[in-house]
Amino acid sequence: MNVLAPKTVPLDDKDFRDQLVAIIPSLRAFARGLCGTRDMADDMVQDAMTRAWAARQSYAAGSNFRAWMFMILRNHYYTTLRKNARMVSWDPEVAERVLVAAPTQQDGLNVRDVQAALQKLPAEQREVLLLIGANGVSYEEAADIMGCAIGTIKSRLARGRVALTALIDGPAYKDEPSGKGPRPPALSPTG
Amino acid sequence: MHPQETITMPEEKMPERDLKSVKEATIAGDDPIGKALRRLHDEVVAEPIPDEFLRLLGEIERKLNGAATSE
Repeated sequence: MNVLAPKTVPLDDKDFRDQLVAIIPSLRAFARGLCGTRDMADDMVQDAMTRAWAARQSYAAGSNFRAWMFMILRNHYYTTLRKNARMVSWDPEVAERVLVAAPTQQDGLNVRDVQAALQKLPAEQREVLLLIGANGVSYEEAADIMGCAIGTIKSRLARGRVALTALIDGPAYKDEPSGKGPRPPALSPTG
Repeated sequence: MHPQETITMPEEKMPERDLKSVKEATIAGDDPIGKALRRLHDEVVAEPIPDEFLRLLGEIERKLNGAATSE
């Protein structure tokens, strides 16, 4: 008999499965924003779900399941990014055509513009914009998910927002021919 | 109205209250970037869950049932 009580009490498998089902839509939305394409995002989510299921004993019942799942998903995303450098070089010419051609909707920015522009940001800025701007998680939760300080979250959010705005409505950027335009400064890799 | 001039500052020089306004700018209903990000999110959330996810859950379900009957 083990005299040491376990530090965490896992959910029973049925409850874990139910939580997993409930969070699929949020995971898909987060992954779609990260990856930019539906197929890649859905593959990423399924991988994350498989990993989560395999690691379910390490999830403590009552703790933040969304943060735990988002962390698994984003870690898997970054691992995949490192393994496959092609994913970061999203075709910039296509992106610029999209940005120039897509009309601005009457009620605000075109969602496709934003989706395309997100893919041109450093991954850390894209991630924090999605977590806080799209998913509505708190600074604290985002810091837990990304494993960094709240100050870093705020800084990435601020820089990401500036860069995204510059990509979407920077006139100099739109007017230049494909591939030759000046880059918004925030596009350079940042810490 | 966007407090953009405040959010171009480097992190270490950014006063806390300006950082708060950054969050408000991103989340607030009248902010075009925040609105577009939320619409992006809501569009995906509103999609029906694809079959491949249901297949994956089916596999998990089978493991659950298998574990229950093998004991």
